[in-house]
Amino acid sequence: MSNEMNNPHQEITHPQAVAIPVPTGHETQVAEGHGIHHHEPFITKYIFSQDHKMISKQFLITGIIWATIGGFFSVLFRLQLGFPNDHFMWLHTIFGNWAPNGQFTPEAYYGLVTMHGTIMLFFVLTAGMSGTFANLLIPLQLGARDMASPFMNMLSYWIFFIASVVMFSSLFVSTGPFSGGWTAYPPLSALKDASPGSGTGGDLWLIAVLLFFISQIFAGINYISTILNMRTKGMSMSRMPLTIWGLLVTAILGLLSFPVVITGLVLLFFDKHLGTSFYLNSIYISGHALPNVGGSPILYQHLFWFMGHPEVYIVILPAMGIASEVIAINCRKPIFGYRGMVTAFFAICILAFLVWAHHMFVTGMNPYLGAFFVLLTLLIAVPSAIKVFNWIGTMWKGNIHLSVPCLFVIGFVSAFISGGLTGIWMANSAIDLDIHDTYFIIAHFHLVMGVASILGMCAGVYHWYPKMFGRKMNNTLGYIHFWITLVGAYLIFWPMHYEGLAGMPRRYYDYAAWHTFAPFEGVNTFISVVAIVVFIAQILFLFNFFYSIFKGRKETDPNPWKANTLEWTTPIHPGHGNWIGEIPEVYRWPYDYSKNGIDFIPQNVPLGPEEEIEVAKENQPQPV
Amino acid sequence: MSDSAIAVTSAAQLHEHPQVEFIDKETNTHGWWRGGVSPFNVSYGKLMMWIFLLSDTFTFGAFLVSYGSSRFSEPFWPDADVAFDSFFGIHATLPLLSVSLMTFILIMSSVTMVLAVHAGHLKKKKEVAKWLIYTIVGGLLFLGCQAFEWVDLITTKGVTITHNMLGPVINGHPTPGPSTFGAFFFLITGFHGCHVFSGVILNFIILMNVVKGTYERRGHYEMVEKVGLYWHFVDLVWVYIFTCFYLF
Amino acid sequence: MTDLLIVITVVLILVIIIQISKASEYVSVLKGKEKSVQQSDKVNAWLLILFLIFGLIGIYICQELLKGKLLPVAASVQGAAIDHMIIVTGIITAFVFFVTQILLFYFGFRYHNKPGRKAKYLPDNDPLEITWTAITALVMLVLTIFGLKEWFEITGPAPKNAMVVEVTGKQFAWLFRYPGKDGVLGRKDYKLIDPAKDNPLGQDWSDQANDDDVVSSGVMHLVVDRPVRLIINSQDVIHDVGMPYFRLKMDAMPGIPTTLWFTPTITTAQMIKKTGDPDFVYELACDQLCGQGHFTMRATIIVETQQQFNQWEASQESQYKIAMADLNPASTPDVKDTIGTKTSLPPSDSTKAKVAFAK
Repeated sequence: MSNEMNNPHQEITHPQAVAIPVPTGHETQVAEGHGIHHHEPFITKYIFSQDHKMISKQFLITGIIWATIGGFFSVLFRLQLGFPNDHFMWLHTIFGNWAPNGQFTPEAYYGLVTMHGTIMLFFVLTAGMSGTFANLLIPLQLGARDMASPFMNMLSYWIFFIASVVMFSSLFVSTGPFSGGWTAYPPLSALKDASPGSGTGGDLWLIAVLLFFISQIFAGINYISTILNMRTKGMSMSRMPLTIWGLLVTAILGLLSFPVVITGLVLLFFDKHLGTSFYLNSIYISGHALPNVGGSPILYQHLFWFMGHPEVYIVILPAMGIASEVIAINCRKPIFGYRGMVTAFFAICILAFLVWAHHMFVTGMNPYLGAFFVLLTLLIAVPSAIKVFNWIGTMWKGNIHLSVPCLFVIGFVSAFISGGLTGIWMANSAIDLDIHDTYFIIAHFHLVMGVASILGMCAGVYHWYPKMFGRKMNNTLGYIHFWITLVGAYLIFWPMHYEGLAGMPRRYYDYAAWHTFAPFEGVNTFISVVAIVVFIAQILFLFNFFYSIFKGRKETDPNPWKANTLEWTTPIHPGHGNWIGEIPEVYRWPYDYSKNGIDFIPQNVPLGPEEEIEVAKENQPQPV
Repeated sequence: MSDSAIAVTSAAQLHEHPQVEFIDKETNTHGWWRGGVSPFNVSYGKLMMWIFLLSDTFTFGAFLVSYGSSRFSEPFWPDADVAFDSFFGIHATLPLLSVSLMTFILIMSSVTMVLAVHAGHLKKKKEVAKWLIYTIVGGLLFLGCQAFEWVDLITTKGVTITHNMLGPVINGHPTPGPSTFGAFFFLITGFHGCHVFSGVILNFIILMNVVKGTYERRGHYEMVEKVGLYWHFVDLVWVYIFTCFYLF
Repeated sequence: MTDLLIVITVVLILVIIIQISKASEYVSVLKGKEKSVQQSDKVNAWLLILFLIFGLIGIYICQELLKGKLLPVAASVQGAAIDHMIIVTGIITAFVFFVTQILLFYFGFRYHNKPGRKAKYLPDNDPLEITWTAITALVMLVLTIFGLKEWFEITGPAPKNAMVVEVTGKQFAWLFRYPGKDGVLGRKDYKLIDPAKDNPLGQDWSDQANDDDVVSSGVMHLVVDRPVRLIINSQDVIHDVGMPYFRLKMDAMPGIPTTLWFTPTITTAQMIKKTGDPDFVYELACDQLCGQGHFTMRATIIVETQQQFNQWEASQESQYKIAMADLNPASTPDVKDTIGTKTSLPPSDSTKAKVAFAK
């Protein structure tokens, strides 16, 4: 280990390999990236790399692999929901005991559901999303040569990687993976007797999730310090692109909420293995009464949702940042209401910590406490609404280039509106009494943070792909991917609102025995078929992504989107250190599109004489 | 560990941010937030330590809030004066004496840490080493006292993470009390103890580096400052734990 | 065989799409960047507007197809109020939904990239932004006030004349206990639970209040137009009493009883007439993942007139009698004190809490 730590260190102190800006011809050539291939051994360039760009790619590819697994799991349990009476013998061939007779057992089904939630939320949309875009964009857009601590950055990826390995290994435990839902409510998650998945599978789940949180805290410390400390000259906070604002608020949310859930999970671990009664109280299970008294399962829910609610913003805020950036570039217009956007980020940051108990309206909580959370939950709709209005405002009278990333952003806004508005329903505790834990909730959060952030993430991947790999993705495949995904997402989740209003509970294996819910069997079949089609359509993306890394058309334009931000001032293949020579200085905000008739003015272009006068006018004291 | 410390510091060469005051030409004001300079005039390393400590505050905060919620939902809670009344194996009724001593030791170790940091500013290598040794000894003494207290609680008071014999006395017979008392006590003081222990290890590592002259060659003793921040934080947290478990 | 065929077809389709895409990429290179970009912008602009139109039609079709599957009218006073709230919230959100979605896709279509089109430099507009922020905040406040009024009514204290039913969830069944003639639920302790001795709830036989408590499994009987207060418990993990027809639900936690009260307004018989479905039953579903049998955790609710309820209650034997009959077939209720003292354990803290709660 110490060797691997040492290698990058040597590499960094080696002036030729790092593009330390000494303006001599030789170094310049090295920094172009040609030299690095020869200088850097494979292991420090591709595996234990401390270059933020490589770490970003590592996060992205790990995230894509997890997204494929998580998405596949959803197809599998949709098979059960859509075709509860059919037997698919190939399931038995692949999954063995999970699916005797070609049908998943309830335990396997709940394992799949739990894994789908955990993987998608934590590994794909938190690590995959923040990990990719924070690592790629923070140094590049702020004009830094790397993260504050490249070593810790590398560490955060590898801890996440270990978490991934542990989680993956839990799929092969004989008692099955953890199957108590991604929220892992005790006592179900604490007692082996309550669910076989809460045995070894649950332990591995717990370890994996703990490691994941630690890795994200490490990453978050790095993101925040980099954003605060490493901005290039002239890059004041108010000149930062909105992507960075989004990532900053995301990192703050994670930094302050993950420790809390870590304590919650530690207490859970104690209850599981050391006989404590933090969450256990008066339990009679499998024929005997447990000695534990005095605990409160609600304590866990508070600790969990104190992370759980900020977590959904951790998932969506980077997508919001990406959307703001991409939409401004493609509309050739400044983002509408930059200050409003930043204010909204901060409002969300603060309110996100004050709404967690709206997940617990049906736990018999004190109604006055509930009222407090109703008010704040409904108020958090205000910053979200501001954002939506601003995105639509940005499109108004633009010259919209409907590129693949731009379409994904339009899809993102659409899904965010659809899912966000239903949030207003369940934010009201009285309505929540009706629709809590039904398919209405599934439809709501999948649209607002699942589909929306996946679309936002895709927008980011298509947009920054040339920066990451120096090649282009296939546009036509991108368009096909987008349209199938958007249409499919609506076809999947729209009917679920009706199921939820009919009271159909989530996390049911089979509805056949229920007089109330059985009429929805046809709808479920329809949803499952669409889900399978959408999943298969993602293969197009996977192909496009991996094929283009090696065979995509080479990018020849250092600024293919005609964007203002600093990442496009680097060479097409930036070396470790990003810029050849001096880091550019910043003179303006990143959204000078179509200003004074000029299509775009990058941030590193000094103010023109006209603009100087404008600035001087603004700085003059206003007559009261 | 020392390798990593070097690697991290040398990465600073990637960032060329001078630690100087920055005056904005346009408005002729201090432009700390205008980029090119750390807005807090601190190195990224110290900033990261601050941010980590902020995060860790939430860990301890969540533990203490959980403890509070559990405690106030119980009708009975053991009296700290009874639970912590022995002094290093002496079963006299000396309530809170040993914990007061522990607290004093820990606070004194914070003082010695301050002196070590101060000596670092003056670049006095021997002084730094001396005060670091005192700090390490303080930390170890604290951990030793804690071990005594744990042993006493487990063996003579019958309090473990699952049992608690310090219950209410009914008709002259002691009955079991809430088990969460012991569970939270051992968990939180143990978690804090882990922090102290890691602090001792960190102190030891930087002591080695001081003795080897690593920081002298580097030209500054910032590493001592960073570990110092951590050490003070651990002390501060103890004050809260002390208040929650012993005084209330 | 069909599986294989499907797989082959899918793979073929994917390969064709990929090949066409690759070819179109070459074509666009030949055409030149400008031209191909303009063409794809035009195509996608039309797709956006088509998506909007077909989306709106789709919403209508979905509504027409699925509205028949929705639940009938709410069968409780509280449920009716919640339905009313849902409708009001639904109208407000639907309005915002249609306006924003239409603008979003219309702008995407209307302002798509065309030669000669210039974007307008418009960084912000403070009055406009303040206006829409204020309006949103105001609407949210109104919804809050409106919602909290119902919330406090539903979570407020139950009326004095409310009947009491204790609901207990366990993996994977529901048990119901009625207080009987004395109107008091007897003491219980989870350590006394012993299904083999006909004591599935852990009732403490030394408490006389238990003598007439009736325990039933799987079916809950309620009286129409009479408020009912449910005292909800769980024996093992967290369950949730979900009653979609009454539009209510409440978690069941081990060790921490919760309560929920409501007034059913429609009897099962009336509902059968209303829905025209002779098999209609009120169903009670577990709404909190509780293990692999979660989806089977079903109970039914019979809402009936007071008279019918009384008849049913009279026909039931109290759990105490059932248990005693099992323990000692010849015994009479008089023996219970000795047996009771034998089985009773020193009360634990949680029992005390429960007793206090039951009172």
